[in-house]
Amino acid sequence: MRLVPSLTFLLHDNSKTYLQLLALLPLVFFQFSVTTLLLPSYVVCNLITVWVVFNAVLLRLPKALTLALLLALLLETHGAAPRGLYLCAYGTLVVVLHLFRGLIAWNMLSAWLTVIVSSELWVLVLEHISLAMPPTALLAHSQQYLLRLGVTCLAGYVLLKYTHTLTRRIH
Amino acid sequence: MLRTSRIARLLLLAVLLLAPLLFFSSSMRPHHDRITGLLQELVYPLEYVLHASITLAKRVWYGYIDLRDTAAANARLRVRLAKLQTRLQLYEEKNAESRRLRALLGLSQRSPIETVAAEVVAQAGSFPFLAVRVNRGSRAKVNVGMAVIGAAGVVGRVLRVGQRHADVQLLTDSGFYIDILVQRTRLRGMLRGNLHNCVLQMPQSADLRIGDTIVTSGLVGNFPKGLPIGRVVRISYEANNVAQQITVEPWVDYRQLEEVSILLQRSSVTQRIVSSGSWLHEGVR
Repeated sequence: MRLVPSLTFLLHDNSKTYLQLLALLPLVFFQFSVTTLLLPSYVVCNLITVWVVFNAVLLRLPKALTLALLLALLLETHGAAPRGLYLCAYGTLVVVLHLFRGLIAWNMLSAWLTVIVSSELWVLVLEHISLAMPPTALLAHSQQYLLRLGVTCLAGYVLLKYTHTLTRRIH
Repeated sequence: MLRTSRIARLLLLAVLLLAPLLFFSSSMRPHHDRITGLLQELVYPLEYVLHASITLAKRVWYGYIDLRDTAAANARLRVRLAKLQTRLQLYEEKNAESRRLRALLGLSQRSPIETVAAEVVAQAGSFPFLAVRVNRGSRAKVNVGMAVIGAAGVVGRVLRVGQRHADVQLLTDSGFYIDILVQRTRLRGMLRGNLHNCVLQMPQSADLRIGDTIVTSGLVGNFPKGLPIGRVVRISYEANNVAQQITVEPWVDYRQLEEVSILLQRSSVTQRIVSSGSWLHEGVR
């Protein structure tokens, strides 16, 4: 018996757009309220990046870009991130993934995980630049950043396993 | 057709890659506008329901079920209360004395600041842009920029406000700056958030020791003078032999923050100028 309701319909190109838009609200809620309750304060699990990667790979560009930018806006309503940081990060990410998705062997698990880690790394780099802190600060927080990359990669792996029937269709 | 679409995508990519340059050269401040306000209002009910359920579960558990240590804790707290009541009487006496002396010297009286208590309902944002969301907003007269304090000291500043909630930028956020005083030596400086703690740059000649308490100067921003911020935990000398970098650990532990007070005063700079300059009062009259 499936305990978790199916989410795969949200990653179809011909799914209802309003449902895909509405799904972003629980995602953001889950990101900021549930994961923070479940995980220790020094561990960050960025589900947003994982979802943006899935959208960019599986949906058409206009839809994926709209969803990513809306997610970025939702993300910017939380926390003290500077204006436009996530809009830039996720906007660029979606376009780059869309341009190169035809060249990647999506039937390999490692390809998905590499893309998820690289995407999170891109977001981390932009975040760190916007902090305007000395380079030594990067070393001081490197463990936390590595942990974040690892946890996000794990979240991507779980979602990938969960949606394997769907992601198989693009192979 | 295919070629045009590819060119359009490449152009879009170029624009998006150039956008960070524009944004990095902009003011870099978190923003609040109608769209983000609307999005916030949409997510807030979910957060509030989760917070209310957790609070209810905690209340039931600790209030009715898990009462093993209650009697011992009660006795301990009674002793502490008696000690604190004595200390409070002493402070009240000192406060009255301070008022009398200020009046005697012709200094302005500090008016009590109106506050509103708020509960932390969610973590708004994650590392490195950590903030907290509280359950008081514009309906409780909370405004952007207001100072937020906890039982142990300064928590942060209101970053954005919804109708029934507000986001608080924490003291440790890298974009947080506050004008401070070293309590022991009365040295002034500018403290900056450094993700897990705060840092302060001072000339090498400045007299600072490990354990010194840092308080607000009350000169810039909406923080009244003398609020505790943290204590000096590390002093490192920079290679240029000119400055020293002081690491300050905040008194407030953000991981255990449950209730805060928001000081309902704004633009204290103008308020201070008007209240401290008696000549200005007379001029205004």
